[in-house]
Amino acid sequence: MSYFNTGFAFFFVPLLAAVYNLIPRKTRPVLLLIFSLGFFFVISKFLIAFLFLSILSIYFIALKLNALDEKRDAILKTVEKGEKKEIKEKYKKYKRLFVALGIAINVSCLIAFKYLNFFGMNIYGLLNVFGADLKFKAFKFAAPIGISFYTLQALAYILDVYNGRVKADRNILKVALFLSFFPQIMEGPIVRYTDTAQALYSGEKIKYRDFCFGYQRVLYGFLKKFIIADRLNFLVNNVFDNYQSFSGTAISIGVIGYTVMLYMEFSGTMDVVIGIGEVFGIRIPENFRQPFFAKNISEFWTRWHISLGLWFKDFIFYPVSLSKVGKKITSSMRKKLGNQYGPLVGGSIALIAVWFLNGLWHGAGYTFLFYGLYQFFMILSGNLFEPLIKKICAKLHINRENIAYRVFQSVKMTLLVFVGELFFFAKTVPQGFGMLAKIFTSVKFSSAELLNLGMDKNDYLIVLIALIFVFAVGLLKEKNVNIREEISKKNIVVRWVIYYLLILSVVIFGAYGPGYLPVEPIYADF
Amino acid sequence: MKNVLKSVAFVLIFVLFINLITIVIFPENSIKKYGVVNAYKYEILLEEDDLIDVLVLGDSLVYSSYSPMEAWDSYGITSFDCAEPAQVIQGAYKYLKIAMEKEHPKIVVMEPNVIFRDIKKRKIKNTLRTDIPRIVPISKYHDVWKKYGFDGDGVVVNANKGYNCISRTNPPKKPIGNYMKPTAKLEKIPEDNLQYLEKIIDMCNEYNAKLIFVSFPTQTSWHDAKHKAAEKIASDYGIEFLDLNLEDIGISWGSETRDMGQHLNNSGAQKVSRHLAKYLFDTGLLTDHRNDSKYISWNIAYEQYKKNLAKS
Repeated sequence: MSYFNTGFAFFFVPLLAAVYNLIPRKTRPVLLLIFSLGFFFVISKFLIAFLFLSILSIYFIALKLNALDEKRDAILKTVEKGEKKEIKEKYKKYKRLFVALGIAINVSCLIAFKYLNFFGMNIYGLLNVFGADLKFKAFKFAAPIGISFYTLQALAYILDVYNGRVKADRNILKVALFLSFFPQIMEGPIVRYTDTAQALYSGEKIKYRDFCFGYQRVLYGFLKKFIIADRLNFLVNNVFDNYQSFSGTAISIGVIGYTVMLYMEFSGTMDVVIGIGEVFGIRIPENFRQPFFAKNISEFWTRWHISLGLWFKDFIFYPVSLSKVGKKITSSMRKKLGNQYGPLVGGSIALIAVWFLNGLWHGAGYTFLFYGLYQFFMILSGNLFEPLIKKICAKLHINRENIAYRVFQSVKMTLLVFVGELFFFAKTVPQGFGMLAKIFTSVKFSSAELLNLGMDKNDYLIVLIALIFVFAVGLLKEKNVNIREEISKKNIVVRWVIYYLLILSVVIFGAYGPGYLPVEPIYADF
Repeated sequence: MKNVLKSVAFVLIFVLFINLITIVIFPENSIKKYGVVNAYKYEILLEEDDLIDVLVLGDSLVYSSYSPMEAWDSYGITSFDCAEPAQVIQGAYKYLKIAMEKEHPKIVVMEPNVIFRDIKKRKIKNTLRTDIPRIVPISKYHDVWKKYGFDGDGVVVNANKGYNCISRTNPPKKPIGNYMKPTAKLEKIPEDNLQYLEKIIDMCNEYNAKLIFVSFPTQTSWHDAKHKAAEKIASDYGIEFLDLNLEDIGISWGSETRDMGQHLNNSGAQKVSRHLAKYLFDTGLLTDHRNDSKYISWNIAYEQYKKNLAKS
């Protein structure tokens, strides 16, 4: 199942929208919830029990946290000033216990489904090093769809209630809909309670404008996936599966192709997700913001998979760097290394925790861990060299805001991203190094080889034209032009001609049917 | 209301656009003879006239089990799957009529599952499954635009010749065992279906084509009661009958089915296609066309077919 199923996007969703508008306002959120749970059940069958477990756990724990807050506040009113600190500490401990319970319930499901084999295999391997003769038998089971996404969303809800950012909701249907809303259950974005819960439960009538704007966004997602990502899929898999038999040039095309494919598939999915949300009047936060316009890797991660980055920032980076130990390290390093490099040490410890977990979140495998650590080193070296680069630029009179320098920065950053994604998709870390080495040691150009990778000249041309189109759209967005708004100001003939051209481009130039291998939803597997 | 009308108008104009484009980019569409959407409806209309020697009528079992390009590769036979999902015998007759006028084949293979299917009961289901998708005819042959791009002459639109490439494996959860266990029962054949069967026989006679019943391997859609009924009909009407469910083809149901024993995947289909190709070639009615310059497009199509197989 994919959001790109035309029957789902252009039949079931409009049908749901029509029914949604016809029924009374109060029942609309219930309809959305039934459809969302039905959607989950169709894909994951009885594993829906784990989604229910998540919903129930965060619902009751959040209520308990609120109840503890209320009880504490009531007691605080009655006691002397001197006792207040002690009571606060006592209740903080209680609250922490419940938060730990919530984390344990949700994370243990995630570990059981995603990491048991990986950890088991490594523990057995380690024991075998010490002389044990054990054979690990891998468990074979399917995970509930989107478990990596809804688990983080569930944890964010408990932690936000714990930190007082959100008040626990007494309405279990609202919490359930927040966690299971069908467009984002499979591949995110990982939204916060304040982002969508209110709108989801308001049951506002669908507006014609929202419907049209939403479907324009869905169409843009289809264009990215069908014309670009699906066309590249065979070539990318062919190169990664048989890299030994290809030249470095062909491997480079495969590596660039993978990054482009991943971006088009994932951001295209987000276009569909956000578009469907918009149809129902729900503003789902953006998950991408023209990442390839970023100046450096650090900025790239504020533009790519934004919701995951924010989650790690709020719930890993800050808690680690602002913890007692983190603060201690920062202050002692500040004394030893000075104000410029001292704080970097504490920050780097938090950063390495973020990237270790980020890599692991993507999957149980060494390639993902390596990928996470690679990002960490790139960000760290960016931070370390920044003062030096600043000095060099000043000496050479290079204006860092100059367009040429900005392009240079983005190109350099893009090349580093390509390398990271190479390891991300490689089957093993040594394969990643093997491919990387071959790129530099086997530089040959043969048009026959490039035409034999899985795309003909026509395919290359279409990918190029479509990428120029996506780049132009990105450039306009970067300049804060609201494209859909601008189109809506045109007269009906111009508007409709634009829409028809886009739909027909997807129908005619889409890479579907015999002779094409569509990309399976990449992030749904993470 | 205004917005609803606007939306309806938008969709209607879209359908019109799609059909206009079909006319523009489908020069082979035989518009005068069959109407705009027919090339999509009857894929064989995209083929050159009088090149095909074997037509294979039937339902999804045909396009999942018999790949004409395998027959081309092994014996130089030109064949085509004139199959539709859940085809009824009335549909088979309609397809045959169109294909016969265009191709004049020497052999017509008919998969006998179609004679058991009730035309009346299937009417709505078949409309949903086969007719509605035809509203957007270009969706299946959208790659035809490549004919106007680089190396246009080498682009073959219909390289699979009606076969549906699927490599996915999904075996039955528990082994099904002998699904052809002998029984005394005979599967019922709806009465109207026999009239259409007679029409098909008449048409084959008129065009001097040999009609053969061939049932394709399936663990869930075929059994002994159907075999016996098909055998009886075949003997009543003097039709040759080959039941591939009883032949030793070496299908491994643990790895060569895509949907738990109902349909084969590419690997199973390759075995069936080569087995049937030998059987058809041994009739002595067919010629090996592999080295005939008139059939060069089949060699090009075979190369494209191999790529399609790899990508499926």
